Amino acid sequence: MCLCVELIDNICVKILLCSFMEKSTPDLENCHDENMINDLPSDLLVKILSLLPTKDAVATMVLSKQWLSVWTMVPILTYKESNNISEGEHKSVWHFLDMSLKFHKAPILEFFDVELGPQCPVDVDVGKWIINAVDRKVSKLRFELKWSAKPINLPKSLYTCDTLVFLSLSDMIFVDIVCPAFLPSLKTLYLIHVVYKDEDSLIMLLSSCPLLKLLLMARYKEDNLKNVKLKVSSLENLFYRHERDDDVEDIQVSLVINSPRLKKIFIRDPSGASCSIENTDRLNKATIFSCQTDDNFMRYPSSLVCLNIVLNITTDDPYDDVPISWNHPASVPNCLLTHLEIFEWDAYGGRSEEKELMRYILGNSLRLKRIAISIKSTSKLEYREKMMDELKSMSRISESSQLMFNTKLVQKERVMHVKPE
Amino acid sequence: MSKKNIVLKSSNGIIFEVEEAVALQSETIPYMIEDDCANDTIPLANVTGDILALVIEYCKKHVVVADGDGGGSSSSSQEDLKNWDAQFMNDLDQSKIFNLLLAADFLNIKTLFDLTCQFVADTMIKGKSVEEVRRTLNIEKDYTSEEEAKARQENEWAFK
Repeated sequence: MCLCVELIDNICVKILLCSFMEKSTPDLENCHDENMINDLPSDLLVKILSLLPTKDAVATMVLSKQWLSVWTMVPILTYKESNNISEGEHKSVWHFLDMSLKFHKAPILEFFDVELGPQCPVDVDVGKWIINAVDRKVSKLRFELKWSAKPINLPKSLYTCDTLVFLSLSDMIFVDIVCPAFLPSLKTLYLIHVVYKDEDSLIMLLSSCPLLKLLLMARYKEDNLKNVKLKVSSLENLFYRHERDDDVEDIQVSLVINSPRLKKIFIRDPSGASCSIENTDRLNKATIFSCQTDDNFMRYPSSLVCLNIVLNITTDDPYDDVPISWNHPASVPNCLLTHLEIFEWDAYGGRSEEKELMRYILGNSLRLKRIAISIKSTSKLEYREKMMDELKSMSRISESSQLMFNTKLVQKERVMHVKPE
Repeated sequence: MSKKNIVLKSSNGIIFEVEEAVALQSETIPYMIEDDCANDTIPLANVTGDILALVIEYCKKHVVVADGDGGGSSSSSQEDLKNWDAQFMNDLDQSKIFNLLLAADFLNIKTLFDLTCQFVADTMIKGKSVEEVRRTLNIEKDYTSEEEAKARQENEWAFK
């Protein structure tokens, strides 16, 4: 800390001196005046172009003869549908993508980022672009397909791409793992609103990623998964979100998480699925939104330091008042006895099940230091005060714990993030 | 506690003495220290005094924040730093920007290099027509009008 204060004093003088000298000796500085963009080495030009949307980078080809092929070496290609749909013209970026890939020459692709919208014709062969990217040792690939056709299979070579570090698949993609998949470098995987052939396809995909650290799974529509098993031995962070589609009848679904290296989980699942998290020795931060928990729910975590629970989401949420299923565990979870230090509850509504759960946590968490509760925003003022009094009077086994209330409106999904000390 | 200072000399002979922590944001300088005697002046033949002053101003600002943070990332200081970076770049003319880019590349200061490249991309090229880019970057059109029309026609897909 003290270092920074001294640093400020130290250099100012020299810089002042220097700028004075510059003004007094202008001739010395003239040497760089003509240094313009054309004097930059081509690798720097490529670097600059790689920071642009590919459309802008490609257009530089007609600036001058020097620029004709600079863009062909950019290692990052980004394609997005234009929002400009004036004059009723719904032109898709697909043709530009197709042509630019033909002329593009960089032997290695760092990032291939494609977003295709409903204007994309349904007979376009999108698979060949993926093959092209895989052949060029792509390390990050994001493919979002929102066309009007059915979900499609992606080429098999994608699932054996050994250079891939980041993979994000969205929307009209049918995940069907036929051949053995192997993604030995993959660390981050996003599966957003995709459809799976079956539960085994997801299991096979996950088991092909020995280094996977972060998994983001967002489910919305019918995706052929009833029982989701997330068993990834290397996984450290999990974001799982399952939105309820009102058109789909409630079917009994379950979520089983068994990833022994998990440190953080975020689960939002108002669908009524049962959720069990096993083998969680290293878990230290959990955020759970409206999830039914079964008897096994986090029975084992002994390292949990921070637990965030949101059983009821604020008024603007269509899933308000999801019933809580709260089963008294047969024995007190280890995490409560030995580790839990921070407990946060958003949108506490004071219903009897909620009270019971709150009493249980407060009554069993030996190490609790901080309890932060925000009362549900729809509650009337007098009820809020009553609830606060009631919460204050609940007995806490950890005598040193602090109870704090956040009475402001809690925005949807804005859960306070508190770092474990 | 005494702190080690490092002396840098620009191509036009201007001497700067800076804290080691400031200089070491450059990944090139440590090699130069190893090669030369540690207490000697490090000559930077590719960087003029005014550009070196800018580089040091940037590094000084960034070392302060990295230190004062105490390891945790405070969002307000990150925000301040971002604003400072934007102002820093905005105050420079084009020639200084390209020289700063070359200096950041030579000295291997990744954050400054990325900042400068991003600034050039965003403010001088992104969303502009070919003519506007030529004008902004002072690029001489060495195509005849016919040649340019031909190039555009051959690559019609790129300009639709």
